[in-house]
Amino acid sequence: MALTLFDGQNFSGRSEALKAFAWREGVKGQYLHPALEVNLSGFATTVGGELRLHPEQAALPAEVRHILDDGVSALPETQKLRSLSGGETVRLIATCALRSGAPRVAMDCALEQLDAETRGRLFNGVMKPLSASVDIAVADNASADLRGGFTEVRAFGSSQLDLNAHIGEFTENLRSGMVTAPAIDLKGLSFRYPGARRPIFDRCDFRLEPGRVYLLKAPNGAGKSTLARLLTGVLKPTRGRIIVDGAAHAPSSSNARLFFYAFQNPASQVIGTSAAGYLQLISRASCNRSTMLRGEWSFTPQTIQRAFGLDPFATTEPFDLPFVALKRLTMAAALLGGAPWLYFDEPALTADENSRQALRDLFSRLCRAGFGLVVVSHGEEFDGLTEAFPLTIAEGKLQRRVDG
Amino acid sequence: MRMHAAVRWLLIIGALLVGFFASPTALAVCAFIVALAYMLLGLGGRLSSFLMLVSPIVLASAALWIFVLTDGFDAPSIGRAATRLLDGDTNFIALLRALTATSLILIAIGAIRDGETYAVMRAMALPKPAAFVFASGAALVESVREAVERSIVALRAQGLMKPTFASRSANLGRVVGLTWLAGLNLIAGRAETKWSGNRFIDRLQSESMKPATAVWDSLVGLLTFAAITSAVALGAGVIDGAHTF
Repeated sequence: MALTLFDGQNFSGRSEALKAFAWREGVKGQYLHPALEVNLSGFATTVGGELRLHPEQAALPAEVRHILDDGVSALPETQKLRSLSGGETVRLIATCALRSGAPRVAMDCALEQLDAETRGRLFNGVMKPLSASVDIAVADNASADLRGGFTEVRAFGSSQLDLNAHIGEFTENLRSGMVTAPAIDLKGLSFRYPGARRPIFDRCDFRLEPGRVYLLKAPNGAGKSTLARLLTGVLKPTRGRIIVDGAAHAPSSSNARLFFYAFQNPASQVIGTSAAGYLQLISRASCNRSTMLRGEWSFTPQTIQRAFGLDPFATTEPFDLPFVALKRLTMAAALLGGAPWLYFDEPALTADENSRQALRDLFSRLCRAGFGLVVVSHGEEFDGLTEAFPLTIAEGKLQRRVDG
Repeated sequence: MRMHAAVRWLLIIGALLVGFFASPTALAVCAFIVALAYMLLGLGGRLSSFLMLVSPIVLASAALWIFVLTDGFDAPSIGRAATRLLDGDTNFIALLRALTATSLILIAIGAIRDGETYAVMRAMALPKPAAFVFASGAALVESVREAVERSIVALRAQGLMKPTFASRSANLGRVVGLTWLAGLNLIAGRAETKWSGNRFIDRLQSESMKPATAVWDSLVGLLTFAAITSAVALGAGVIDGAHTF
């Protein structure tokens, strides 16, 4: 039995190898897909229901059971599966898989969706002890801190398909100050869901300035998605105002674009019959609406598609796109959406180190070009950016995050 | 709600009896018994949701039938029309029978503990494919509203839908399309990974997964069945003393 790292880039055959590892003939192993929702049974709607469908099949060591139970006991039994954050979903599906009694468990980019502390606890407290009786294989793009803990490393060669072949050239051509995004002042912003006991935002005052990457890290339910919905106008604040460039602005009734929101799960927002078609749709829609983006920004869908390495997928149906390409597609769409502010939810999900570096460079240059960025990320991949502004939501307010 | 499979079947039989044979008086008694059962089973919230859903239909139907039954423009009598509305085998009574029967079926198979639908269906001796379709369908129905909402958010967040009524109406096709595409994507992914590769379905079928049962829930179910069958039987005159109703 072993704890193996499947080490390689995107499109290097890691995922196929992991599936083969888990589902080799005669072995009923467990494979965890990077698109987390796919790993849920589809027979339950709540955390309690999902756990009931996955009873413990093999006696686990007491300490392992304790850590696994601890990871899911924080989730209320009646909590809806759709409301779980990425990290919570990983904890749930890992618990279901590891207590299934399967002789092999393969995790495809699931661990990287956990914060560092939870990842370390799951890896050292559960996976390492369990690897004495279960073969465990992991593909992970943020595994530097765990690398020493693997008993084996299986390296995969470089891929012929390189998503980053042209993004550097595109990034280099972004000039400083080529666009102007407005500053956004949240004044006494309050929001409470109907029937909820406490407000998500309570008289929140905060100023978002362009030229920064606001790195938002906050626990589930703190209001990360609600903030995106308020800023894109899907929800209306119950009190308070959003001031844009000194004037009151109501995103829920304004036609002018202020934010483009790229979801954590891109499959929930890509529409159309091909990747190229989707980009053209977004580009056309942006031409038909006014925007708060000022300056010279007129890239064609073809240029953005090439820059993001999506040419090989141009005619592919969104349905058939690999997860990492789907993530890229929604980020490409964000640059065609004509919005001065971009809200990216876990943009580096399943991206290999080369892609993460490309994203770091891109975000940095977009900031210098004049855009405003809000990036939700549980990992540390963007922490070192010079433009980074650590942000959190606590007690109904947006505030600067102080780590440690 | 944790009820024995046999009791669930009895409630379904009870629902059929109410649906086909309940006289107006027996129907009123049955409705009261069913409401009481909801309360005893701790399903008050579900009952109020059901009533909120069906009340407009019942009221609209009653109003329309009274309008139809109020004959004669010279001396219209609302009271007589109302009496005729509730007298015997009218269409309005048939509607009430159907709704009361539905509320009983909701107790029998609509209030299964989350995650136990497949096991309950199997315990009720349904074939595996039917249990599978029912279990996945039940979970899917609950998530449709959220999926539609997510699609609307996605369109708004990408600037594909403006905040006007006209834009919302014009983009209805996109909402449906995106909901469909995202749902299909998820189901296809699960079919490959969870259901086929990970053999979740095989394991679920091979293991004797027993649904949870509780004595109280089963007892309430049994008493409800006994009470409604008695009410229907008395109301239909099967048992002597039907006139007492």
